[in-house]
Amino acid sequence: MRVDDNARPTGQSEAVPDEGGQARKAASRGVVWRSPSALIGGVLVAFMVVLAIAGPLIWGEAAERIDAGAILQGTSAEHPLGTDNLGRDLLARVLVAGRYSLALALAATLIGAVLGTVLGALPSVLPRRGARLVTGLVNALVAFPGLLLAMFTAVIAGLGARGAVLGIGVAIAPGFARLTQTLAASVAGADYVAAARMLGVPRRRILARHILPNIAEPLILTLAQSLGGALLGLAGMSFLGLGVQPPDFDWGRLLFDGFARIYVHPEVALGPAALVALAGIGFNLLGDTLARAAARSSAGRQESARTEPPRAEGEPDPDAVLEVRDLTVSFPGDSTPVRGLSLTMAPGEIVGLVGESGSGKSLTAAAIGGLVPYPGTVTYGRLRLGGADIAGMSGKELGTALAMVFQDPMASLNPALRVGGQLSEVAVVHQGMSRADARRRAVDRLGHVHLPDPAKQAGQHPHELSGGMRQRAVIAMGLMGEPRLIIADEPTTALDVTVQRQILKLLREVVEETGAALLFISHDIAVVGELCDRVVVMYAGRVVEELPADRLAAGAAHPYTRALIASLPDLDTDRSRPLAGIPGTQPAPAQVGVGCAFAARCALATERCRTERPELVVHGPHRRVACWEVTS
Amino acid sequence: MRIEGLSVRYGGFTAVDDVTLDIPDGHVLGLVGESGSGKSSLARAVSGLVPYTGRITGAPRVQMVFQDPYASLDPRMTVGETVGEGIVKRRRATEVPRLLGLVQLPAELAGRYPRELSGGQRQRVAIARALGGEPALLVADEITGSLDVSVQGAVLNLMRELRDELGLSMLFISHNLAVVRYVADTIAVMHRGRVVEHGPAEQVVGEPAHDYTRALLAAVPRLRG
Ligand code: SF4
Repeated sequence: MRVDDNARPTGQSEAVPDEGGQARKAASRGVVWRSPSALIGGVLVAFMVVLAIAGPLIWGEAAERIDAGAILQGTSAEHPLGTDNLGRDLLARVLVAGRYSLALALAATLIGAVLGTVLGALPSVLPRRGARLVTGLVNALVAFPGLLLAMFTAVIAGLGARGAVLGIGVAIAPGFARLTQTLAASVAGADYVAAARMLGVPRRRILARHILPNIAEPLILTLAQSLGGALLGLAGMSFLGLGVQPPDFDWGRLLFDGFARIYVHPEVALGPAALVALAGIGFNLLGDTLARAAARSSAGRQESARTEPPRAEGEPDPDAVLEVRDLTVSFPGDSTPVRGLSLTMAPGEIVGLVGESGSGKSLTAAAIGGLVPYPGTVTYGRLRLGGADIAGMSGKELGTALAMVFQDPMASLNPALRVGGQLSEVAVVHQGMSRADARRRAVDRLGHVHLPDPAKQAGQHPHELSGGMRQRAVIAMGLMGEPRLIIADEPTTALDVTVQRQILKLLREVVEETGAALLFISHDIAVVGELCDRVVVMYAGRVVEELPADRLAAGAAHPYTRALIASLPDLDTDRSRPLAGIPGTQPAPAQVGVGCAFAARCALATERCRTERPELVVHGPHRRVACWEVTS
Repeated sequence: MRIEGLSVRYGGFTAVDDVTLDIPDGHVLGLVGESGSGKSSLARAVSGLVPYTGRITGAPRVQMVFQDPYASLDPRMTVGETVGEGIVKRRRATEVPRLLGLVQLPAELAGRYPRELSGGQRQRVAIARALGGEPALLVADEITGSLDVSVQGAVLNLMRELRDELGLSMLFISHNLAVVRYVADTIAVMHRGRVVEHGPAEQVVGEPAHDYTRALLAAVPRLRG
């Protein structure tokens, strides 16, 4: 249930395009699987499986061979783990017991999983009162100590393997039920479930069609972890004498028998104990790895690889705040979301980088700020900020000279810390200011971005501010240093139009006052046209047109820019005519072919457009265009 | 269809406060407002997704299309299964292609999964699914909010065509005044849970009567020149 209106476009942020994201996911999964814990878990589980299959076949006979002459012995060459009260070899018995122990654990886990999933899913289908009852029951069971639950059930169900398996199954069930409930509740809140409800689809069917399939994956992952727990639990039950009874034996039973002699021959108890522990560890590690591989969608902000730059021709522009030459960002899988982009910005200039989702505009910003996520690769011929090569700048220098503002202000603010503290931190770390000075500057900066009563707001946590105020705080944070360049990536997309207007005004003020340049990235060409001096239009990773913002409405030359502007309904659009749009879709970063990337959607496309790519060339004063039809 | 004295409360918070609105048959009522204005809560109340007080009469079947086509389609169901969800089994084979045709998607798409579709195509699938419920009223909540401008136009055109062809009544909700103006016959402006202005689309945009409407209009970004 959402109280808030969902009035904002959410799809436009494109920090990482689909393709790159996929590749990144695959690669980070590889990283997860190569970790030592994953390796150990895998080896241990594989060993257990082999043992369960082969153990009884190889050592079955030895395990049952009674030898009256070798009763209750300790370690010897013949019996490395000693013998039991009938003279049977304990090593053989431990190895043979693997199959039974693992089978029992598997049975207990399955019982627990089925029971738990049913319990957890019931509230989604029962009427309200019944649902509450089941939820209450699950909550009570989760709070109840598992081992007690297991023993209680086992005693009722009767001594022996069956009782123990049931007992452990029952002990596992509440955890599964809770997990199922939580997962089901999140899927039940999805729009597609709401849509199904409106179509009159019965609850049972919603559960079967929508909810269960979408929660199956995490549930199955949990199975592996539970298996380890069940194994330990069953060993515990047998050890307590509640589990497997002679003449059957599992690891727990062997441990129980050996324990009586532990002061004389510790090795007879250590063998089964070690195997129980190893199997438990193995399944837990494997479960962990599976869960991490599934959950892992981002490898975090690792420094991405920067290959040796192809040096740019010519001298760097001494007056430019930002100079980018031939910037390319690529991801494994032949995905190149940014292709040879060049951009120069003068001090105090506001440049709008506009494009639709997947055009590469946000990755361009990320590349300038050194924030391209792993395993992205960034190459460039030249990347200079304030006259210095960015590659040679320390994090401190970059942090002071460059300010970044993102669509979601919470991405830049720590929810646990007070706003003022976070701002001062910047000055303390980057500029080496004293705490008191930094604090004063923070309040001053907050006042600068028109936060009412800045001294008081500095003492508040981010969640106590409205969305617009948070964005102001982030801008203030950028102003703690002396930024030469501010990069704002969709900073107003999540805001209401009236608040958007205020933030745009603020950004303009900041630029006028500090003389910093502003790179404003947006999907909204109207906003860009209003705020910026110059507009750079991106399509499929390349700049297709550059022009003064006041020429956008009447003077755009590139067919894509023109179509984009025509698609934009405004308050004077003729309501009797269909709206313009662009047929087809932008090619994905891995699917950009030779020729003009826009050719498949362009009304003017010729044969040449499909085979030969137009370069970005000068087309009148302050204007550049990449289009055969315009320039030839 | 008539909404009378409708209120939605979440605990002590009143999201929609005593709203009365008429939607004549075959009309499109546009609802604009900013976040927290209560427009989405109103949509959900009309769709029967949240409890409300007050009366809604004359809309036996309501279906809704949501903002985010990436969240509103079950990733594990094919397009055909999704569109056929509200249709009795024996009619599915003929209805699904017909509905896909209505939203101008090729029938071959029925076997595909949502991840294979673009945002615009997904939103068409969601519209087809809603049409399968044979709605008397279609609630469209910010349906172009997550689409790129270049595909937004086609979806808006489709909504207008559906209205003309099927005589569908619609509650069309957006924060974007220009979009609402293009699609709607009348516009209601919501602010803090209340309707502050309601009138013919051109009039609300051309001669706004309420201060809030004026503020909203002034904030709409426009291209210069
Ligand atoms: S180069 Fe050809 S296809 Fe590309 S935009 Fe120009 S006319 Fe269209």
